Amino acid sequence: MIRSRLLAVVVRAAVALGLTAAALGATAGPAAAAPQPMGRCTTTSGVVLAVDFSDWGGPIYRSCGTTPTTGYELLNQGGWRTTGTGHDGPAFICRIGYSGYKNGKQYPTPAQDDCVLTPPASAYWSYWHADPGDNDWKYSQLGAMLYKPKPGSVDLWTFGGTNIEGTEGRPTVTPDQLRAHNTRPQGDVGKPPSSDKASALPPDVDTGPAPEQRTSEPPTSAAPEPKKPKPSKSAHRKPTPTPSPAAGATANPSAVAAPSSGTKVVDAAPAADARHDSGSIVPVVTGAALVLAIGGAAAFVARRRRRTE
Amino acid sequence: MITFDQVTVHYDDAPEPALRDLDLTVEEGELCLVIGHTGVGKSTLLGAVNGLVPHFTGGTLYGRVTVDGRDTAHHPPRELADVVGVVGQDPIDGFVTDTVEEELAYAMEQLAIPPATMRKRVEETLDLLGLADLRHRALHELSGGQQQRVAIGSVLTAHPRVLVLDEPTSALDPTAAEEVLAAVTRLVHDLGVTVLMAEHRLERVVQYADRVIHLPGDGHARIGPPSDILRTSTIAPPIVELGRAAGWSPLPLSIRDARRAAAPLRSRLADHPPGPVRPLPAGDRPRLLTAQGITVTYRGVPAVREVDLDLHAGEVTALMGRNGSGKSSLLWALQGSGPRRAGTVKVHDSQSGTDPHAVPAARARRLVGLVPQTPADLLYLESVKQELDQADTESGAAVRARAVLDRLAPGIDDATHPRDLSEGQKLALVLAIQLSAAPRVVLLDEPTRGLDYRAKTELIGIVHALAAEGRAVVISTHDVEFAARAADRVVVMAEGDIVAHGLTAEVIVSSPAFAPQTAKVLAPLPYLTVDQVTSALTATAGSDEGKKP
Amino acid sequence: MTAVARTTVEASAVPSAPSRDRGGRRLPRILHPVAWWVWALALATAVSRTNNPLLLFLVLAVLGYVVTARRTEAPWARGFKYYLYLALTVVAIRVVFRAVFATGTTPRDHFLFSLPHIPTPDWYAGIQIGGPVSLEAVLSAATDGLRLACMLCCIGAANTLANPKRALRVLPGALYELGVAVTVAISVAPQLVQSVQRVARARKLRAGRTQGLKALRGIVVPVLEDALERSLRLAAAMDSRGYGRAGTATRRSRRATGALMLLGMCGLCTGAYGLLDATAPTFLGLPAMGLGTALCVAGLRLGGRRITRTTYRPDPWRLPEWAVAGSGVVSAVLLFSNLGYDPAQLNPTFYPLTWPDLPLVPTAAILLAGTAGFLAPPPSPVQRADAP
Repeated sequence: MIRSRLLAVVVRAAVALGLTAAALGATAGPAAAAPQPMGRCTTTSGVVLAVDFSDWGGPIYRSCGTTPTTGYELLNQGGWRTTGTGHDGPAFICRIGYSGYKNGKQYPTPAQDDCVLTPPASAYWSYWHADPGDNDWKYSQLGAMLYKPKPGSVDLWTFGGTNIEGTEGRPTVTPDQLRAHNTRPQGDVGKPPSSDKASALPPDVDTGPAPEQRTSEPPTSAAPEPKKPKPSKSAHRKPTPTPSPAAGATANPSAVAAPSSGTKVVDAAPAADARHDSGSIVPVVTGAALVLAIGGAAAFVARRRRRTE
Repeated sequence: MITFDQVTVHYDDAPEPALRDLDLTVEEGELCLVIGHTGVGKSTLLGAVNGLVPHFTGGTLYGRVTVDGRDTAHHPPRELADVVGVVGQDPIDGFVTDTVEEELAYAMEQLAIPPATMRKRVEETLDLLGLADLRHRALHELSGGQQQRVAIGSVLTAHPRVLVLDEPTSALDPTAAEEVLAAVTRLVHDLGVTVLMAEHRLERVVQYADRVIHLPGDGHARIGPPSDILRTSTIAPPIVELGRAAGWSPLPLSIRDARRAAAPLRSRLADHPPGPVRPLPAGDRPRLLTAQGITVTYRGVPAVREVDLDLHAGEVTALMGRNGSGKSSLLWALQGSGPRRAGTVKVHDSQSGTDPHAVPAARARRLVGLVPQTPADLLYLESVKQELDQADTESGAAVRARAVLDRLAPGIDDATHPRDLSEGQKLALVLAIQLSAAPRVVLLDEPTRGLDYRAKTELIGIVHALAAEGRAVVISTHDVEFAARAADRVVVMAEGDIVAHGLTAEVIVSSPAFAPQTAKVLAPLPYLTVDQVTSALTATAGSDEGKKP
Repeated sequence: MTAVARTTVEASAVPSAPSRDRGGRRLPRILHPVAWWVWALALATAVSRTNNPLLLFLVLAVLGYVVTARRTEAPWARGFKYYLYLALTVVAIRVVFRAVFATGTTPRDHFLFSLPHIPTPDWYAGIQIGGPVSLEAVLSAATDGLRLACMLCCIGAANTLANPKRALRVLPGALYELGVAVTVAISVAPQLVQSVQRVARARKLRAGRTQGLKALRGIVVPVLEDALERSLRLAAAMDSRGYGRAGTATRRSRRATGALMLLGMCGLCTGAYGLLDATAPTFLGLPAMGLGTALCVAGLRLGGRRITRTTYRPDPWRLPEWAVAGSGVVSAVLLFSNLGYDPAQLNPTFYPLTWPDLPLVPTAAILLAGTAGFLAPPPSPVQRADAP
């Protein structure tokens, strides 16, 4: 009985592997939203994306994207890349990486958070918006896949914790420090340097749940209500506010404004994606062989026991 | 060893005391048998020995019960566990652990006996009761006889001075009963354990008893040697009735003694062929049910193998065989509610015959009525009247259930809760419910379980009445005395096969396990029941008197 | 690797009575149930650390091997396959939930199929039902389910390898009653099922309804009455066999026991809260936990004193017990130590699709846990039931 069950499991695994192998060779679909150089964003067009790496000693990166788009697409184009959690899928932003920062390494690192379950409320990427002209951050009521930024607005991702009152964990920079102040697009009107565009979603697309369930009351007056904070290994990590220039950034870092906190704001030009390595099949074969060997031993023992009975 | 001093037990909800002014002394090493009809207080008497009455059951006990010098008024049952061992009727209900060995050790663990001693006693008990091969087996896998022996062993390991057994063989087939009784007598003879035992099947135990306590039913008790008490008691096994009829003195209690005493009787009856146990109804007896190639399996294990069976109107068939030989499975398959893997059943209500398995349950019960082993499973309402009314609606009131019940067992009050009825009354109620659908084939699964002699006699009357109405009746039973008196034909099953099938006299007399006491005593004469002997004796007396002048 | 780890385990064991006769094969005997439980719980803890399908399948294989090699022939030892069914169900449910309550598809995902999308109102935009399902989503849901399934199978293996009733016997004396209650409840459940089957079958004889509320009554009433009578008989039997004999406890010591246990439990609850809630004051965490444990232990000690009871054939704790429990604990420690491997290898992501890695140290740790199959003494030879 156990043997046949084992066999079924192995077969299932084999089918899954086959599908995966087929999928690894597949290609993506057509494009819609596109990354832009920072100069293309104006007070009324394009969306500014800002990500605060100051927890790991990095600057605040900002880049520009076209509309219409979603918060998720904005964060997955022009060299940006995110990882979701094993439990909630890609819609829950667990790690963020930029190919121009530390070679595209994503933060928090696997040692800090394994991104299997929902990260603790004391250490996660919180999502903030500032509408055009507005100089106050609003805690996002929607998940990155559901939120559609308005032209001229600013999206900010900042790592840390938020409390129930919303008094802690607010961004240290103001929207004005990040947003585009030019009224007309500047620089090269041509194609973005990166050909890597976020492809359009399949029809009837489902853009996933918000990371946190919130009511839709205005968060500026009523405080956002994050979940009860949970302890975690990263909960008490001290942020390192020391500004440090981005090592190995491919774009020309140009400090636009000196934020009050002292964290540098660096423009991140659209960049090519960090090369994705789909890994070697050797470990999988080794693992399957090991499992088969042990399963075979179990089957042998079972048969011997049945014979002696 | 056990002393009852002016003991009266009164339960709170009963109008009369269950035991009244009982004086009783049981000496060490005696096997003392408690006899009496259902409901005369046998269980109360047994329960009072270790304090379950009144500590556990409630009620009031006046007087004094002392066991090995300990007064049960000051010692609850658990404090008497090292002196009195109690084994109930259904051993499986009393098991606390799940394997034989652990069950044997349970009582000792409670008594804080050192592990080394425990191990030794368990080994001794395993040998004493012949359980050594079963030591690691799960309790629920054991047969009835094995379970009963484990239950006895599990109290024996505490080395009690007194063993109390409440109907230890009532659920067992003859062979298993022999096993248990052999173990009990061995305890009495080898270890000097005092045994107090209640039992309905006197024919099984009476020969081993040193003393008999007879509870006639008025709350009092008569105590004395078995041959004295049984000479006049209201209940007696067939061997005693035979002795009474033949006027033997002293009254023989074992087959061996009776055969020695019966030599003159045998020669006297040699020329008189016995009359039929029951005159077969006259006229043709049409076939009511034909079963062919019935096979029943449970998870691939065959319970019934390719059995053929015909049932005729007006005939009573006894289905016999040891526990687990497929009797119940066959009955359920015949009724149509049970599983059937292969074979056909035809109830001849029309030209072609109807298979009860193929028609809805409501129609099937008009063809074949079955009373299951635990009749109470069919009862779920608050009063007898509600049950009967429900039966009338279910059956479409072909026959009024109340009328049937009054014929089967008169005098059952409408307002009584079905659970308060005696076993015999419950059986009659369920039978009435099933008969309200007017089936022509009636199947009874182990109806004699828990019935005393009086109730069995009544049941025989009921069965014969049903047959006289032109029904075919099948009764599965372990009780050979009952089968000898009730059945026209006997079918013996073993491992799912029918191994013998024929007229009662032919099948039963030749089998050592299934022969009734009368047949054993009078063999090779083909007498089965005491009634046959008495009528033959009257006849011979008449003819002898006719010869004399 | 395995051999090295194995020698360390054996070296750490207490060199007490030898478990093998030097002549050759080891004497068959039953391993202490607690050793199996420690082993299985440690392995479950190790499993909780990883999401790597290769490691998870390896754990399943190891469990399968140890169970086949070291289970007894007792009724409870035949149930591992049911845990495997349960595990499969868990994986299936996880995948179905992930597909139905879609968690979002990224543009780079490999589209598999699409479920009909059920629109949810704006104010409830957080949850999406239906929509496209990607290979990545299915794979990550399956591994997520597989992890839970593996933990279930660890518990199942412990239940299969160790007699649950024997395991309850190691409860401290003061909790003996609790153990008995559980034991009786375990044995009552199958009887209840039997009883229901019997009555439901009998219902057919009366051509009673077999469905609906009325039928329920016809079945429930006889079954409950049966169960009640049975439990009364069991209680009477236990009482007459000495269950609950009074020890030397006085009223005062009983009260003290009760108070200690109650306070201890409060301490444990507060401690657990303090440990789990990061915002709670620090003194609520470990100190409260420690105090609660101490109070509970004291209560159990005091309560145990009034118990006068012995144990039949107590299970010994010898070298094999140390070895089996140790192999499990060492493997859990290795999976939590992050030594010699990248923690990312334990939790590979399927966004984007990547072949999972097989890190050396965790693999060795799981194989080490599998050595329990050799370290434990063989089970007693089969005692065949002579009748079906």
